[in-house]
Parts: sequence; C-alpha cells; structure tokens
Amino acid sequence: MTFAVQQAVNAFTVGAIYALIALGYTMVYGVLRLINFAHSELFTAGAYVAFLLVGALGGTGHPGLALLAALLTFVAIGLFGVTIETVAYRPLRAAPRLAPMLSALGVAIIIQNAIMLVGGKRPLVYPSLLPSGTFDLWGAVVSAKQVTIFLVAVLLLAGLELFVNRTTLGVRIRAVSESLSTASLVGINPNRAIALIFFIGAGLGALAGILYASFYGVATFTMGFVVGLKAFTAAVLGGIGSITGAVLGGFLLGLIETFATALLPVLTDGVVGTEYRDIFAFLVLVGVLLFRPTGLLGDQVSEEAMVYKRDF
Amino acid sequence: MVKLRHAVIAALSIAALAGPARAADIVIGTAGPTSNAEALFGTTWMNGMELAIRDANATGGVNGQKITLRREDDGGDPKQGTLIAQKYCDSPEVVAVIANFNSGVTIPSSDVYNRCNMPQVSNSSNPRITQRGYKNLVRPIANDLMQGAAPARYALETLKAKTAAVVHDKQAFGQGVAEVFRQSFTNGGGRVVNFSGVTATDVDFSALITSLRGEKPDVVYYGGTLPAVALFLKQMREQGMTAQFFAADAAFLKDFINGAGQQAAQGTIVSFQAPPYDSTEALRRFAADYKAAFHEDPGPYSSYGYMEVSVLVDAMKRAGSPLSRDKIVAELPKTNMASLLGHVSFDSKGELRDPFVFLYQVKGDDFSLVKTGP
Repeated sequence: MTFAVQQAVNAFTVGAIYALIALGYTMVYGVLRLINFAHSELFTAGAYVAFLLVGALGGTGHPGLALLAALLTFVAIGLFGVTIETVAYRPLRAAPRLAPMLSALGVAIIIQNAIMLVGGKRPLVYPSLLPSGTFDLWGAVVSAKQVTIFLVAVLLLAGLELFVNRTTLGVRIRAVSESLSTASLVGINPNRAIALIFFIGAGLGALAGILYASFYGVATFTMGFVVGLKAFTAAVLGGIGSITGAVLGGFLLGLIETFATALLPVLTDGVVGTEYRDIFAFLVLVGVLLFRPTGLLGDQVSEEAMVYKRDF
Repeated sequence: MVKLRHAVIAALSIAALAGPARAADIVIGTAGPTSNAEALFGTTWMNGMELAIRDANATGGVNGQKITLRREDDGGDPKQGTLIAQKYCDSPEVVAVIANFNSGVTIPSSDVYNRCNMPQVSNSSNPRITQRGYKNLVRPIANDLMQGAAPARYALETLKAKTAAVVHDKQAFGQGVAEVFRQSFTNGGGRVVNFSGVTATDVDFSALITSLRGEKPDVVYYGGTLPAVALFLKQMREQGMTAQFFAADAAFLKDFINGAGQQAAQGTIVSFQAPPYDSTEALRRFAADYKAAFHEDPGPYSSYGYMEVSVLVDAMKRAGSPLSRDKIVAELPKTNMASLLGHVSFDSKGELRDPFVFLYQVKGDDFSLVKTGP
C-alpha cells in the first residue's frame, strides 16, 4: 500500500512536469502542424534564466523572490519563443512541412549550444525555489516540493483551459487552429494568434524547467532532450493538438513510467533493472502511433490534416 | 670489408663503454601532465618524487651512486606519452620510469616501455593497465575497482550492517566497484537485498528509491559519478531513507556535498586513494619537508610520488651494481617494504596486495578521514 501511494506521488510529480511541457508541443502542432523541436531547449533555457535571475535578485531567501524570478522567466522565454517563431518558422510557413521541422532542429541545436557556452558544461547545482518540508501520507513521504509542483501545474493547466475556451483571444486561437485560412477570412490576424500560442507554450515550458531543476536540484545544458521527447510522447498519447489530451497524456505517462520502472525488476526477477526507465515512454509512443495515431482524445483526422500529412 | 666490420664493431664497443661511463648518476624518468588543467596534480606528484630522491641521495643513494630525476610533460596526451616513452627507451642511462599519471596515457605508453623492458611504475588506476601481463610494470596504487572492498568491510565490521542495497550506473567504473562491493559484502556474511542499475545521466531515481525503502537495507552503496550520485542521495533522504550511504572516489569533491545538500550528505562515507597529510606522523613530516622544499602544500598525489621512488630505490638496491633494466624488472615484483603510505607488495599481475584505500566521512561542508585502510 505504502509502496503504491509513494510511487503514485512520484508519478504525479513527474507527470505534472510532462503535462506542462506537452502543452507547448500540442498547441503549436494544433495550429501549425509543426513539431517544435526547439521546445525542449526552451525548457532548459527557462531553468538557466531563472537561475541567473535568482542570482541577480539576491538569493532564494524570500518566496516572493522565487515567484518574481519565475514570472520574469515566463515572460522572457515566452518572448523568446515568439522571436523563434518569427525568425525561424514564419518565413517557412508556406514551405513543405519538412522545412520548418529542420529549422526547428537547427534552432534547438543553437539554443543548446548557447546554453552550454553561457552556463558551462558542468552540471549546475540548482537552488530549490520551492518550499521545503515533508509530511506523511499513508506511510508515503510526500514533500512540499511535490505538492507545489502538482498544484502549480494543475492551476496553470486549468487557467489555460479557461483562457482558450472562455475568452475572445481563446476563440481566435481555436479558430486559427481549426483552419488558418478560414480564420483570416473572418478577420482574425493569424500571426497574432500564433505568436500568442508560442508565448504561452514557451512560457509554460520554461516554468516546467524551473520546477524540474528545483525539484532535482541540478540543471544540465542537455537536460531538455530526453524530457522533451517524453513530453512529446505525452502529447501524442493524449492526442496531439488537444490541450486536455496533453494534460491527460502527461499524467498517464508519469504513472506508466513510474510503475513500470518499479515493477520491472520484480517481474523479471532482477534481469532487467530500473536502468530501463526510459524505454517505457518510447514503447508508449510506438504503440500509440501504431494503434491509435490520433491519441486518446485526438480529433478525427480532418481533410486538411491529411493534406498536411502528404506534405511529409 | 672485413676491416670495415671491425671498425664498426670497435666503434660500437666504444660507444657501449662510453654510454654507462658518462652516466655517473642513475636516472629515473617520469612523465605526467605539468602544463594542462591537471598540471597541479602532475607537478606536485613529481615534486614528491624529487623529495624522495633527495632523501635517498642524502643516505648514500643506491649502493653509492646518486640518483637524478628526469621530468617530461606528457600533457595527459597519449601521443605525447608514447613519444616520451620511446625517448626514455632510447636513452641507456634511464634505468626505470615512473609513468604515467593518466590511465589513458599509461595504457599506450606501457606497450612501448614493455618493448624495451623498462621497469615501469604507474600511478594510473584503470583496471586494464595490469591486465596485459606486462612483467616490467607494477602499479602501487589501488585500481578503481578495489575501492569497493574497503567500504564493504567497514560496513560489516564497524557498522555491524547485515543488509545492503547496491546501486550502480552501468558504466565500467560504476558497475565494477559495485560488483566488488557486493562480493566483499556477501563474502563477509552480509546480505545484498538489492543490486540495481540506473542510467548514468538520469536525474529521477524515485521509483527505485521507493522500492529500496521497502527493503530497509542497513547501508546503501552507490557506484557511479557526479551528478547522479549526489541526486540519488538527495532523493533518498527526501523520501525519508536514513540508511548509511557509501560512494566511490568520484564523489570525493565539494560538488558532491553541494549537489546533495549539506544536510543530506552528512555522514556519507566516500573512498579515496590518498590520505590527508595530518593522518600519520610520517605524513605530517613529509608535508612539512615538502613545504620547506617547494614553498607550497603537497598535492593529493605527492605522497604517491614519494612512495613510488622509494619502491624503485628499494628494488635497485636489491638489484646490486652494475644496474640494468633487466635486473630491476626482476626485483621490482618482489618488493616487500614499508612505505610512507603503508606496506607495499605486489601480486603476480603487479597490483598492490593490500591497496591503500582511505575512507572519508562528510562532516559539515568537508570530508574527514574515518579509517585508514585496509
């Protein structure tokens, strides 16, 4: 029992982070049918920028400082995301789908190397920007950090859901996501909607980076790669293009990964150990793509989406 | 034609006579990094040798002959290391070498030294170095894997631990020391409740730690490198596991204490090859002599440099004069002597029979010695 509760707590913590990152992938894909490979690097960049800001603001003493640093990071990385879109993706919007994807890969490499040059190759010991302390839950140890990560993620996800479904800007985003050309016919500036999506997606990714680095106490310039692939898997699992799907996919992937990893040595009698943690995310990815390409909550594949697919 | 051959033979024999006649001193060659990022290690290591040579010369040298040290900079570069090796091989006055500092350099250079049967004392810790059966090579420093044994003994004998969980990062070094720990712990009567691998670059070990927590081991041994070892410990403490934690020398850095957090790191036991200079009377005297001679504190491997020269001098004394490489090679493996760091004797592969491994414990923000091993 304790074992199950503890593993569930572990799973929801990592799931919340996957969900936050998955949103960035899913929102961009929903509108541009583009897998934004640079997103995982914005996650890393978020952690590094917040680290610099916390240093500049003078330490981790006050919770308000951490909050301020996080807010500034959200805005900075959000604007950076918009810049990337303008510079690297917008000129290629009419090009075959492969071109912006390669452009995204290029941007990812540039950002990763820039982080390495600025932040150094050595792992960064990351200050905890989250409240400390632990409490007991049916025998499991739950830390305040884990609760904070879960709550922050849930609040942000709920806020985004409300924003997209209940506000005028949200309506525009949805319209552009449904059909870019039709939306512009009814007077919506698609560029603005797309910029907004990049702003929110990148910002959320950056926040996930801060939570992740604070929780584990370390940041490396390569940390985005595997986490990004897993978050992308979460987005595909939930149904790429769907915001609710990304959230569901994130938590589900966290649960699958944690429980499968914990049970693996038990089931195989120690032959295959916990070092194979990473295979589950990718097994899920392969499985979903083979048997249910639209994911759990994915839309029916529309005529337009099919056209895009042929472009590959 | 016959005349020419005689002339050549005559010239050669003159050269052969002239060679040793010119070399009034016995020359020990050394090569290590003295100009790159590891320059501090290399230079202080060689200074330790210098000190040993002064001491030996002050007490009569080797059977009346003085010794000199010839230093070369290999820059930690295998190419440079093999060039230097060839140079030493071609210099008849060099009768033994202490080389190299880095494992990556020792492995190729030992091929060269083996071809000219040069007595070689290596300071590199990679297990592969002694696996090729070179009779001219000894390594008076614990190899990487031997570090697993001392913590296991300490856990069993001093901490009276009954059960252990062993975690490693699947790398040659990490898994190697972890397996040695498991074997020593089991042989000593302990029970290993869990032996698991993790990914070296991973940061989330919560799934494994939750399983370990249920198994309640007395001690946890982690074979692996930073930053994973620090993160593992941190997450272990966060989940409320209080088992004694052990780590290999990769964690013997302040980064480990910072990475895990000072509170979580308290009490962790880390193994390392070199002792602190205040642990014995001999080492305290060595540190004082070193400071007087070089106007700085000894480096982490200075005592090793000193000990390695002592080992060579001891073998040379037994070899008797006239000295030759072959004679030293024959004597070197028979070494059986007390040294600055402890007793030195070699097994059939040229490895230390009782490797020096020192256990340090994290206290406050630093490491302090708990037990001089083995």
